[in-house]
Amino acid sequence: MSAPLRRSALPRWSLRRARLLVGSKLALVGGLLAFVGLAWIVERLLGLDGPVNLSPPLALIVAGVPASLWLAFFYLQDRHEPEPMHFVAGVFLLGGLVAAPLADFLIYQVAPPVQLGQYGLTPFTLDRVVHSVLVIGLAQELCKYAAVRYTIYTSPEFDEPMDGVVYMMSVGTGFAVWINYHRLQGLGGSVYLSTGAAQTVVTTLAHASFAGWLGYVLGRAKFTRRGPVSRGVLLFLGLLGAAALNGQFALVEQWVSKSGFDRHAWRGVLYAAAVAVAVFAVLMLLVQRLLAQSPFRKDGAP
Amino acid sequence: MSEQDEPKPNPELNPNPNPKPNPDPSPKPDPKSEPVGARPASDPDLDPAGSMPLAAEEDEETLAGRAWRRATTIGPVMVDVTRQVAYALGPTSPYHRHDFIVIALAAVVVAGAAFGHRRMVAPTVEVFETRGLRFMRPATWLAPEEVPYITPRLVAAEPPRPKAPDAELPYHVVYTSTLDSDVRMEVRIEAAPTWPNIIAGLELDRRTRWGELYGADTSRVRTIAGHDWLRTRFRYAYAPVKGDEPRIGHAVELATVDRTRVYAITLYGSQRRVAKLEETIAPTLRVSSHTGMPLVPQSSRLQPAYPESVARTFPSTVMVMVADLVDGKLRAVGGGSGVVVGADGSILTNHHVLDRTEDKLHDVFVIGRFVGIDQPPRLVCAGKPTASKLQPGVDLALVKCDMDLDGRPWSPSSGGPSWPALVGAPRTDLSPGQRLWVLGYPDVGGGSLTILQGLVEGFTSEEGTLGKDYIKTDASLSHGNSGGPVVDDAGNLVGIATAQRRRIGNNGTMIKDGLVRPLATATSLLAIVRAGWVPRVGHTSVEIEPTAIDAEAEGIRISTRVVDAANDQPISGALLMVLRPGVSAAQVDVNRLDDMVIAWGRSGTSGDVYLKQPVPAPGTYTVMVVVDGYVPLIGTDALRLAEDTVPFFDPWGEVKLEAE
Repeated sequence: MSAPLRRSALPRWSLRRARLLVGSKLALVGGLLAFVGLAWIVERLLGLDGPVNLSPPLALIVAGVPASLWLAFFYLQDRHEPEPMHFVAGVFLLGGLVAAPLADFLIYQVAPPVQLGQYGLTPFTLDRVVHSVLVIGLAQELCKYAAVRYTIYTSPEFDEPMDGVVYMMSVGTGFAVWINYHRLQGLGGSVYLSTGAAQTVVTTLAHASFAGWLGYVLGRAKFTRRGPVSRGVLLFLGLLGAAALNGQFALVEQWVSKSGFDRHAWRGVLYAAAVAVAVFAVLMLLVQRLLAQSPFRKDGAP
Repeated sequence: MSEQDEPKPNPELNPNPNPKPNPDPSPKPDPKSEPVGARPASDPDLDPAGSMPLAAEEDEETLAGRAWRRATTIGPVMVDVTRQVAYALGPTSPYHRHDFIVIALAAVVVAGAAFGHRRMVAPTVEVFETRGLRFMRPATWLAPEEVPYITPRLVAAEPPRPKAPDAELPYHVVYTSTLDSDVRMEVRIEAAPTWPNIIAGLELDRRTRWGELYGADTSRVRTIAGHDWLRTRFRYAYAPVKGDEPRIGHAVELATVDRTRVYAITLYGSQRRVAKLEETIAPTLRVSSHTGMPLVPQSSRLQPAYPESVARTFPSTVMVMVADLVDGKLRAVGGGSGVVVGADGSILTNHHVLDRTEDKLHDVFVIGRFVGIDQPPRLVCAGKPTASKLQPGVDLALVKCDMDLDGRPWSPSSGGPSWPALVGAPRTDLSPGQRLWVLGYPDVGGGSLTILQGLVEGFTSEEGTLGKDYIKTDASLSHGNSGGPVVDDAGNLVGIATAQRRRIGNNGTMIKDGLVRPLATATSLLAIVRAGWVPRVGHTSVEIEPTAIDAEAEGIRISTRVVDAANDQPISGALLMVLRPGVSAAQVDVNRLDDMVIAWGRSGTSGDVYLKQPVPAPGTYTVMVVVDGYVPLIGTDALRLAEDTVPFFDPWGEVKLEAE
């Protein structure tokens, strides 16, 4: 009796597998768009003109569904030697349950809410840039980095530069769940459903992409032949770069969505989407380079 | 494996940067040594036949054996994980140092940026200086506004006349933060109060301003640049906008007083914001005068050791604060002490505590109850001296609260702590040399209960000659002790601390005699307490003067005889009153006898009493008999008249009273 055909029994790379991969990615992106569309349709059908109160479980679903889809999408990027699923899932949980709370704690400790302060009135005053980039951005990226560096980084599974991107994007995705959940639960759980869902999708992509950039640097630093000083400089610049991307994301998103006393949430969403997609696209170019250089690459593979 | 199948590592990248030997000597499969896509031969996925014997073995394995196998497997796995982590973090790790430096450097940048950010957004401070008060304050405030007139809660008052533009005092303004409208700062500068007990005076201000939801948290004295500042943290209820749901606000008041002015800065907002604001303002507080008055609570003074029986009288000792309307505001202007003499909240004090001028009483009195030996009294209720029982001849007064500090009707029996009465038979066996304890709330700056020890030195008259009007003691009485209880070692009330007299001793030194009014002089007031009374404005006399309400002309003429229970001697002047049907002993109020009495009469020298009005029959009535020096007698339903009762009737034969 012949054994049933298993995926592992397929050739590692084949045209059929490549098609499956591309089809899966398209399905996932379609799922993300459908998620936002569904929220918009629900909003129209129910005639919701104002914000709605999301219960904690519902907020968790709205934050978690895009994260799961993105996570699957990122996972499929690692074509040559896919990482063990449970490792990727574990790092995702680390991002949401360890790195993000740790970042919140750290930020609260070093920069508690200003009591008698006066923030700059525009988003680009020096104090707001410093706070957004060097305090919040750097602290968040540092925690994402530490979550990977002191767990999966020491594992034999972290065996090629591309793994840095995969694991850091996983941790960034988990991180985004925490961020999105608290945003949806903030202001008494009152949120516009469609823009809330869209923001969740783009924020997840953004956090994952910023972390992915850092993962790219992390992977290169681990496997470079250069000395410790070069690796350290590379890592620190990577952290600063991720922090800058993270910080500007919040600042500019806030700036573009405001017009006088009016707030245009969709403008912010569009900006965030543009930035997140741009960073992700650049990251994908870098990933292609890593994949082409992968020690596990087989010629002819897509 | 063909060359084409071999992995082609990037020359820049080093897939295996760890050239060190594996610290674990046990042979392990190395994933990097396997071609991509290949699996170890032992992989059950690729060798289904190989899994069969294993499954069979597992089936045959006992539970204990399986547990043992798993236990022996967990150990090496844990060891392996520990080695991996130790290696990665350990000093031999090629990534350790630079990685640690990266994380440390990033953490330093975060902390430094946070510090820099705080400095960048910290508001600038500027000098506040006016009317002798100076401090640094944040610049982020709106222009000051005059605090609107606050109506006193305890007494009706007309708004004060508008302040003259050039008048320097009072100065009372509020600043609102431009960053948070809930954060405010009030600055109040006024003429120094006449009463030096600043702590109690400020407490009255706050309590009567913020109402029943006001709660003082802590109060302590802080010395700033040589001045004592009273720092009081309190909570209050407020509505940000009229009609809003009330919130609980937090505030800190910093106050000091010099010879001419009182300065108070009050910070409102959340606890955190008030704390930050206080950090900025408090250390910089300065007043131009260097003659600050002490604000140290009396608890810091050394208290003598006292017997436990004396300690039991502390809850019966109260502070009697008096306040007057001054320019439309209620101000604490003086105070003394008092002693609870009735469980209904009746308090005995000195008449001069309530007396404002020769012919005018203070507007209101406020009672402060004992909380702890090291704490100021808690203000609980208020009343009007004009509704008290006064005996100016012996400088005594009987007061009772009838309103809370919001000015609403209130009764001591309506809840809260009980009022332990401290009263017994007057002592007639006092002799020189006996020890006395004087309890009270002297004025000097503070507020907690003080205990003075003294000896009976003798007795004196009003004029200083021989007599028994006062007990003389060497205890050093001061302002605020007036009206306070004087007790013996057993905790029995001996008298009321009343005055101090100075005289020149034989060697030319000034001698201070404390004068204590003996309890025996308060019998009339104590009789009123026993009879029951409710404060009523205008009814200040201790004489019970009933006016019978209109009753039917037809009825029974009642007569009887009033005698001393001890020796059957007739008692003259006893007032016998028949109260209207339905009034029980518990409802008797000596101030409302004109609403209650339907027939009354006073005994003559023979003890015989004939009621002036006939009592309707049939009926059942409560009867009350009072006379100075005897315990009042109140009998519920003591008089029962039937249809066939004779027109002239002595229901009891004799009424016997017990001497006090």
